[in-house]
Amino acid sequence: MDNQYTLLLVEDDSFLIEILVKKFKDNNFNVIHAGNGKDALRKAHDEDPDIIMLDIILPGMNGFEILEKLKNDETVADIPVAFLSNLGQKEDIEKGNKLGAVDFIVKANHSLDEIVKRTEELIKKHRNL
Amino acid sequence: METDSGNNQEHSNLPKELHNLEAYMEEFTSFLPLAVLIISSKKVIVETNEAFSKITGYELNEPIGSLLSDYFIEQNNLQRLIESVNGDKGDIGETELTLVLKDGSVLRSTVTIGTRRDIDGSLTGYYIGISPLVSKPAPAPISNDVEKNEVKSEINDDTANSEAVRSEQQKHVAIIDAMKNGLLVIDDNGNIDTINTHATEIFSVERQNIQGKPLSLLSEAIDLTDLSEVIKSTPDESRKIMVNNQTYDVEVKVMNTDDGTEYTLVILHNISKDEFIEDMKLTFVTVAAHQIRTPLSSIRWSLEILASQLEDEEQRDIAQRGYRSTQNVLEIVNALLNLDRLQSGEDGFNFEPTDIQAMISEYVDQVKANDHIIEQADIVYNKPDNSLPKVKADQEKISIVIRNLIDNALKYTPTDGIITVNTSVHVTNDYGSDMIQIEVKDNGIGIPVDSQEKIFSKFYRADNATKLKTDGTGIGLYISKHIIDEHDGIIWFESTEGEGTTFYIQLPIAQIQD
Repeated sequence: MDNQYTLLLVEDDSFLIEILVKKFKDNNFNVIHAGNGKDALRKAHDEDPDIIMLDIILPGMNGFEILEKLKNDETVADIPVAFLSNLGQKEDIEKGNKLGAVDFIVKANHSLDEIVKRTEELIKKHRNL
Repeated sequence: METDSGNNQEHSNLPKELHNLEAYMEEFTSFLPLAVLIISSKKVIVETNEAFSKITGYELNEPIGSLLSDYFIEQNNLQRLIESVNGDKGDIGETELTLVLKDGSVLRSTVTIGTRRDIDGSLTGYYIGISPLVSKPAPAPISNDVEKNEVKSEINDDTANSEAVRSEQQKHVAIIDAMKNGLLVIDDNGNIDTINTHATEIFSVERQNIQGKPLSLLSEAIDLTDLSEVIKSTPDESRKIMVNNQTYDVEVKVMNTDDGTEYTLVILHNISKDEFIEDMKLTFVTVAAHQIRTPLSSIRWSLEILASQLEDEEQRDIAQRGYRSTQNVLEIVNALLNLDRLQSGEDGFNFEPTDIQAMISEYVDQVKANDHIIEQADIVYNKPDNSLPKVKADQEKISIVIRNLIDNALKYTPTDGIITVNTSVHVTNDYGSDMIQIEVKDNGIGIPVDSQEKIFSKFYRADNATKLKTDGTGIGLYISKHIIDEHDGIIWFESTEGEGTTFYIQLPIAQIQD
């Protein structure tokens, strides 16, 4: 399909992964999943996704550290990265912005429909830049 | 001090003694940072102090004659607190209650109660101490029954004194012992005139071994006389000292009685505990944010998927209702987190020029995208023809207010709702700068007249709101008012029960140099 986006989802909660993967697939996304930082960095290289959605609290490297590594790596630095986490205190959001995240979505505040819509908008916006 | 122990007094001196005692008591209670009320056995307020006025906004003598229960929300808990001290003579009870202030707002407080008894031990009333929990969480309660009983029995044994003096002394002892801080009164010879139970615990001393003795006996490591000298020249300054590995904030005040005797009051507030509690709170917020919201998100999202995919209408309906309930729980958790963050002042406010129009549009669009809401109400934002100047606002916090007002309008407009949002420049007269006015108007259930005064109080919900939606928190408008106040803005409403409510906010326009 010509309108298919590829999403790299970095998340460690298996039930959330299942739900998110299903929802994004239903909305015509190609979804790749990574459960930790190492895996995420490798898949960002190999799959060249349209967008990366990052959880913050993860085993090993946390979301901020992963973002920093992504932005320091020329080949993947241009891929937009958004946080999808249940943290969301002001200092978390500011830290994310400073490191170059394009959005900060607090899981608890949004329905799946809203998240899919927002993800599509982020990709479109990035392509038009 | 001659009025303290009361021993060896001549009857002929009594009027003068009483006068001094009264003056001393007045000075004493007015200085106390603890709000104190004295009530009769019928729970009518007979005496109050300046700290109480300061906290509640009532004039000094205004509460006298009114009922204690008028000042608290949790009537059952208040009743239980009073009953808890009715049994044993000298018992002290304590609990957390919500104090209602003159302006209708409320304050969570620790309330301590002690009994007043006459010479025969019959109950004549109660002493009530009130310390707000807001900025400094109170330290854990400390049992002080033993020492207090000793002091009381000392007083009871004394037969040379009059009943009136005795009763004043009991009042004095009960008040200072009800304090959650350590308190010392030092006379002008540097001797300890009075020490309360908490202070004896801080310094690990027995009251009878230290009362009337030089201050230096307390602890060789701390020279409180020096400290009082320093602070005499700069009143209101507070100092920190360490005693037994605990940090105390020390407040010192010098006071003079009518006969020219000078006393130094020293108050010790343990801040180690405050710091510990602050740490605990931060940890709690992080835990609540992550560990509670994450599983709730999975439940909510699974139900969302079920609601969109189930074939059977009944099953779909159940999934939808489950989805909405989960959403409600998440809203409550979020409201509590917001409240906690605001109250701890952790966040601070970060004011910047903010496009309020865009913020409202975005949220209104988001609401409209929700089919379930749109079935029930029509929401319109009437954008002004010319775009509005930016307001000076903390974006994150102002968006909480906008969301609260719009969500409330939707929540309390059960059928055929029409929600209108308007924004305009409000030109102020004479002095002051222009403001941006935001209106959120609904045709919902309205706010009953007798609830209007309390609608911004914490945890308060109007009866008709509770009947319609049992699951509200009563936090939204309290938080909103707090946020708008911090913006130097104004929030108010006009409402008719059964017809609808319009909430108004005015926010200052951002100056160019901002």
